[in-house]
Amino acid sequence: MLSALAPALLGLGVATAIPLLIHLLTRKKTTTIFFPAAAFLQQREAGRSRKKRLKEIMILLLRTLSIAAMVAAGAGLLWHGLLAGQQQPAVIIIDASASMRQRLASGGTAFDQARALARQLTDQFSQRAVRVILATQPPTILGSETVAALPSEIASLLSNSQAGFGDGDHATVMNKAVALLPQGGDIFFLSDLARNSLSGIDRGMIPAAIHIHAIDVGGGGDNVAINAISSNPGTIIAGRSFSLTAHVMSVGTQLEKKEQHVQVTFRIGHSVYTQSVKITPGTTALATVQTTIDDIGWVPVEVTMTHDDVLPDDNRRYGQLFIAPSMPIILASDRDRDDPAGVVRPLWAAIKAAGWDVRHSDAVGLAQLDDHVIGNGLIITAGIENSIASETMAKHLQQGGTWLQILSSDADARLVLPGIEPPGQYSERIDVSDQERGIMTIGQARIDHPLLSGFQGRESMLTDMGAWRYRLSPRPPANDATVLLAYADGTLALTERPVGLGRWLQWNCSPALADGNLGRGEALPLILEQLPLRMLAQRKNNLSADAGRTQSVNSELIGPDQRSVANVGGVVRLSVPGIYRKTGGEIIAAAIPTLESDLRQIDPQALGFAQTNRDKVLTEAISTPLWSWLLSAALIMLCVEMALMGGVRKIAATQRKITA
Amino acid sequence: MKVTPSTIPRLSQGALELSARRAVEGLYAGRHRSPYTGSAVEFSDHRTYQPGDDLRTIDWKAYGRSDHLLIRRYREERDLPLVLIIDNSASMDYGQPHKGEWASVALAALALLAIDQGDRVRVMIGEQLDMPEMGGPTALKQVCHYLSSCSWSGTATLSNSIEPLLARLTHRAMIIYVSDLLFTPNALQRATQIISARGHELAVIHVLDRSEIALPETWGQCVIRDPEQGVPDVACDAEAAKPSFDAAMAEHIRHCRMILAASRADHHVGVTDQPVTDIIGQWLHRRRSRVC
Repeated sequence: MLSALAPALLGLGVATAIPLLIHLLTRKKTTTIFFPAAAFLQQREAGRSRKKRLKEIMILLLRTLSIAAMVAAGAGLLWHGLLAGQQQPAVIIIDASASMRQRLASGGTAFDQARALARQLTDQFSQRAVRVILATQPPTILGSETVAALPSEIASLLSNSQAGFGDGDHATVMNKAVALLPQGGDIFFLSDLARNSLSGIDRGMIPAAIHIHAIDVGGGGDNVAINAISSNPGTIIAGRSFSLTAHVMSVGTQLEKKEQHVQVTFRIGHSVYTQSVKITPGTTALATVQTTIDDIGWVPVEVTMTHDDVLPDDNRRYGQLFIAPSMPIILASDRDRDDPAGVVRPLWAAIKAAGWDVRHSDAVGLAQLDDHVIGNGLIITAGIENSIASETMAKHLQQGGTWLQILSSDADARLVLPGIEPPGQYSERIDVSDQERGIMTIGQARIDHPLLSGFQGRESMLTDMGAWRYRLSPRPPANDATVLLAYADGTLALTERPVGLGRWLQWNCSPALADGNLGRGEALPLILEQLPLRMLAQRKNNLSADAGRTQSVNSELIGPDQRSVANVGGVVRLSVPGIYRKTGGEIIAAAIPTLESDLRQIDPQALGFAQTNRDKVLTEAISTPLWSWLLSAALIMLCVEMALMGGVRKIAATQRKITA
Repeated sequence: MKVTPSTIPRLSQGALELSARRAVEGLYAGRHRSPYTGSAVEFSDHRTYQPGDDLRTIDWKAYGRSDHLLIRRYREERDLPLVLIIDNSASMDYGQPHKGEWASVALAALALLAIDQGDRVRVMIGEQLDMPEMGGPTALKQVCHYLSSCSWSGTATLSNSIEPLLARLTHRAMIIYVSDLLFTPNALQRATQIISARGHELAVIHVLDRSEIALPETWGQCVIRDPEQGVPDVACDAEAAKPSFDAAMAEHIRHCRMILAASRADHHVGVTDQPVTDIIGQWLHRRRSRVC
């Protein structure tokens, strides 16, 4: 651990030059003597001289090395002893996210490994002020926040800790750790370094005086997870068929080359369905069941999978379904609905042809809509003559409802909602019934859009649609508007814009038979068939919340263990995956966060963090300090030198004896 | 150093003499045995008379005893052709007293002794054979003059010196080589074998500085450099290296002595901190005792 050597003390390394200086200064000056009998010296003295010089160099080298070792050892001693008080503090962060519950080949979990490593580090850093933070939600500091705990205290606290679900808000944890190191120091981040590790941490925001060491505690292996549950359509209508799909992903690191067969069991309410899926490593497979539920209300869903892997927690996933009553669709118009040539009858017929129930209303009726319809259904308007329902429509959009506005009159084109920009603004009506044989061709179509999926294979319908229409005003469409259909001259035909939680669609074509043909009466039903389904599918496709997160709940909440969940100021924490039930029948499903299943490792260095080898840290924690090795080496070198010197003296004594 | 006749030490005023162990082939009559027979005082042997022989040489007494005409033969005594070779290699330029100067003085002393005995001398400096064989009162002056011109450099060995010498020597001679013998024993062995095979007599005065026999401990840590650049520099601790060096040098001297003895050549070590007269005197005494 060379870093333990104080740089200032290393200046003493100059002392290593002392033997060299002594050697040079005390070196005997040799005189050159012309001697005719040199030949008799040459044979014997040449070899002897070489040996002697070699021996001298060795002794010099040993002296220098021994002094260097002693200086380094002394520096190490000082650094470890006298200067220990000046050592920088350290914070050890233990990743407590769900991925740390993965089992290791060595036995135990990654969290157990991190815990053991943290204990050893606290022992090793006994001279430093060490804090240990558990990366829970919110972060948990083991011991006092102001005073560093003793290693024994930390060990005791660690033994009671465990990895949670949904924990691992590493950005918050890191901010906490940085706050504990105002003067700088080291942060040791003990983690499996899975995909969600170090997420959200910007290295550039951390002071340069703080060094972050990401330490991999191990992990990885075969893992197959149920990553998501989705329904189609998103909102399930009582009595209407729907499908429930489990997304089974292979997200481990040791991907087997062969396909695996996984049996997926769906428990929807009291019904149980089983599907077998074949999953290729590194890919996603879908297990889908089709069913119908007649009862309105909340239904819990539990999807389980038979697979033995390193992270069993993600082999089970919970979800909640709300079985809604039939879709409320309201067709509002101030025109006569019995007029065969009017705009109402073709629309009425098209909705009915799509299989939906529809109620008729007018502008006044819209203004007096029930609360359960506002923000929850589809309102279709055509020929609205006044703006009395503007506020109701705005509320409907903001709360998640959908409005299909058919621009069949000048009043429709001029209708504005307070504070809401329409998808497009129209100014001038263009009657093309006398031109081009009354047919206007669609020039641009987003045929891949779900709403237009009914036109796939029937694209020819788009070539003769529209009779008269409103030209787009000089103002361009709203920035977030999507143009789904546009006429050949660039005028908008079908435009969509998200407003609040809802969507506002504008259909620039009159459905009245007198005004045009609308694809000879076939195009509108194709759109109206898809619109309610697609609208609802986009709104409610999240069947579970992330376990470990908090939620606002006003009523009492009963957890999976049938115990009441602590409610602090209207906020509860869904600590474990499962079904949570509110009073009144509403349920909340909590599931392991999707990212936690992905055990593929990240590269901390790519994120700007130094990665420290785990084995190296452990080895250094139990290894003998370098200074003691250096001291031993110095002693050994001195012994060797003494032995060499003893040998020299012995030879000299023998020679003297012979001479005498 | 300038060597002059006045500075040459005289060896015991006639008590010592330089005599050849082998028969020498001097050109002139002298005091040394020669292989020649003729008019002399020392009887050699008899030979059967041959027509044409001088009638005065007939041994009539022997004729009376044996009834054969026999001629008396006498061994002639000739002078000693002495070749004095001084090693002028760079290794001789060393020591206190100076090895080269000590050797020059020793050589001059030997030359003086020989000239006084009526012998003829020739001096060689390393490989240079410039000086002719000379004798008589003027020869000493020539020897001194020649030795004074000696300079110490190079890597001369005995082998190098005798090559030009043997080409010029037509008669058996005595060769005295004054050197520190700091070259390989093999070269010494080869040279002595050649000299012996030619019938010449060899004596070697082995000149050494005291530090070359016993390495001074006071040198301490030092770098030893060979003046002849034959070996690279050696860094050593003199105190530690002394035992091995002294032993090695003693072994070298013993080896040289064995090589020379094998060729019946004299070997005498002269340490320069001792007077030249003592060293030469010791050698001549030892030599005379062996000759007798």
